[in-house]
Amino acid sequence: MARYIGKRIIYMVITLALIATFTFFLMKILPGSPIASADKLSPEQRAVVEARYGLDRPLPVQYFEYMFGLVQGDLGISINQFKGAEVTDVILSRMGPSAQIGFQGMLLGTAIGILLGMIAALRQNTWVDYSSTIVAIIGISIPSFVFASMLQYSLGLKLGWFPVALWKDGFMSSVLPSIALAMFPLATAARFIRTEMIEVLGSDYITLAKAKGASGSEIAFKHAFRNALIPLITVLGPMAVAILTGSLVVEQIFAIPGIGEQFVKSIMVSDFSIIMGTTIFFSVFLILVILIVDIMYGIIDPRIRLSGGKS
Amino acid sequence: MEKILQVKDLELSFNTFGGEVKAIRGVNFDLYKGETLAIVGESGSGKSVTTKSIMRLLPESSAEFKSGEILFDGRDLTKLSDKEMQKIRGKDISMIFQDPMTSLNPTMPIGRQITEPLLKHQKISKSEARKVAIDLLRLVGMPKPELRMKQYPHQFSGGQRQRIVIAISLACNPQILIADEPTTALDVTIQAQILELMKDLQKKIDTSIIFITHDLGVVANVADRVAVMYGGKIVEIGTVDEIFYNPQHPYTWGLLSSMPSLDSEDAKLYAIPGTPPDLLEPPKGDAFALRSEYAMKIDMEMDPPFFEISDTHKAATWLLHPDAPQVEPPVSVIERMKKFPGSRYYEGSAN
Repeated sequence: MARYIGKRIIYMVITLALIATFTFFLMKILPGSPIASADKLSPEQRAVVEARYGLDRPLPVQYFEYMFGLVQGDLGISINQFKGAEVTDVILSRMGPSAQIGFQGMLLGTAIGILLGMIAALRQNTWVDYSSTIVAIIGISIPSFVFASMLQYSLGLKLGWFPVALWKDGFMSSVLPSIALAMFPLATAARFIRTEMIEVLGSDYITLAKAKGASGSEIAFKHAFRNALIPLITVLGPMAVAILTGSLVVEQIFAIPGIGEQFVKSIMVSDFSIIMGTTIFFSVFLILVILIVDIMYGIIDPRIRLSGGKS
Repeated sequence: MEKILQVKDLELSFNTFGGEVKAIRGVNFDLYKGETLAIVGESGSGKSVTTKSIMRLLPESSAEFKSGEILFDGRDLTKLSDKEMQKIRGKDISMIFQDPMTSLNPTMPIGRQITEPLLKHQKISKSEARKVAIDLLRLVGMPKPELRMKQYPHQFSGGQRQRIVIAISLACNPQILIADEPTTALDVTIQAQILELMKDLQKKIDTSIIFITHDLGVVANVADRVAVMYGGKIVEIGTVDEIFYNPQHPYTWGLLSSMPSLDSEDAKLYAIPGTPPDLLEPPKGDAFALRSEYAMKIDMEMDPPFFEISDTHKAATWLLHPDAPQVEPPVSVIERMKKFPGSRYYEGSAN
């Protein structure tokens, strides 16, 4: 197991290096300059500013400097926001709200989704099943920002249960954005669990469990559930991506001072170092999610115990 | 002998989109204490459905008891509630399935799978159940049972898995064990081991076995009595000697002729012509008539009743009617009948 994880970490580093390189050069190709009022500056002033951020040096030098800093955990300084604060500090200070709504959304979504999927499978072809399918279709086809606006209008504005926006009331402020983010995982989990449960319930070992005298609920929870979970873990990765990209927009709508909101702002003002830093941060997060997914496979399904490990 | 299970005039249908499939069309048999009854027949003859209906393992949404009863312990199993049925399954009647590769839960250690029926049906603690499970594994010939309790099904071979399934089925000392083609998915050497194990265990725990198979070699090896099923009915039932050496139904003749034997000199193996009947619209009369070269006019019109050949031997064919003409069974069957005292071809004991 340890050997396996070690190997995976090496691959992760390689992947990250590639992502960093790719993003770096993409940034450089992009039109626009982080020096906002570049037109108004005299060439001398401009040169001073560029020198300050190392933008005057040749591209390969900039690249190697950046990569060298990256290895040391230094993501550079913000060019045109926060008066030149460290990118790492900016990300860390912004991480809290994003992590909170992301985590809550994921948890809420998968939990309710699994429940819906289970009920739908156990009550196949009844109205319960059909309504859960409809919920799943809605959740997958309507983007999270539409839900966000609908939630703001109904639960926020009309009923006044939760604040419409801003990050001022602690947990209460996180409820609506979490629900908006939860819709996609909810729909995905419901769909996957339903399909898989139906298949698992038709398998031989379920008949054997029944032949042992197990009751309906014992069969569903003790025998079928764990086996039906395996494909859901596969989509945990894509779900994490959905939460990430979803939060870019959702944070913007709810005016939450999270990473996503910062990311969008930075793109608008071409703050290269923040964009780079956030991209790398997101990549690390995703790669970690994928590693966790692979490890979870082995925990849930003993047939997929990871190579290199001795079980 | 004590009757432990009685199946009386059982009729069962599946309601499908295409219509009503009459899978079992009036099946009667008794199971005696301690015996092994083999049910043989080709695919779709209703042998599996019959036994699954005893356990009530058929999908409730489509399978429907039309008439008849299954008497066990003074109760009609077709009328029990789900809860009552759960108390019988795994405790009084248990089952072994065909494919050991798929009949164990892949994500549950086998120890837990064996203790499950024990904890369910008997008032014992987890540690006691564990001990019983280890004993069961030892009983079915699993080496180092303590170590293997924690392992998962994929860490066992096919034969070992079938041993585990047998251990599970025997956990609560059932009165009836239903084995649905337990050796079909195994290779021949393992088949022999599993059959030996089952015979051995039957002696030890004195359970009655219903053994479903289409392998007549297996039948000869394990069974006390044999029921031959065709088209959702039993067409002939008798002791294993009566079925093998004095068969009366043309379908049984066909089955026996299509079995390779060491002294059969023909290079070509006999095959019964035609296909099994469509149970969506079962044929009038004898279901086998259309494939039988011995069919008479009456076979096409009226279902034959059972004719008794002996106290233990019955066959449903018009050929046994006093007015029916004498017909010659296939040569290979005559060869067999020559060895059976009481058959008209008997030549005295050859050896």
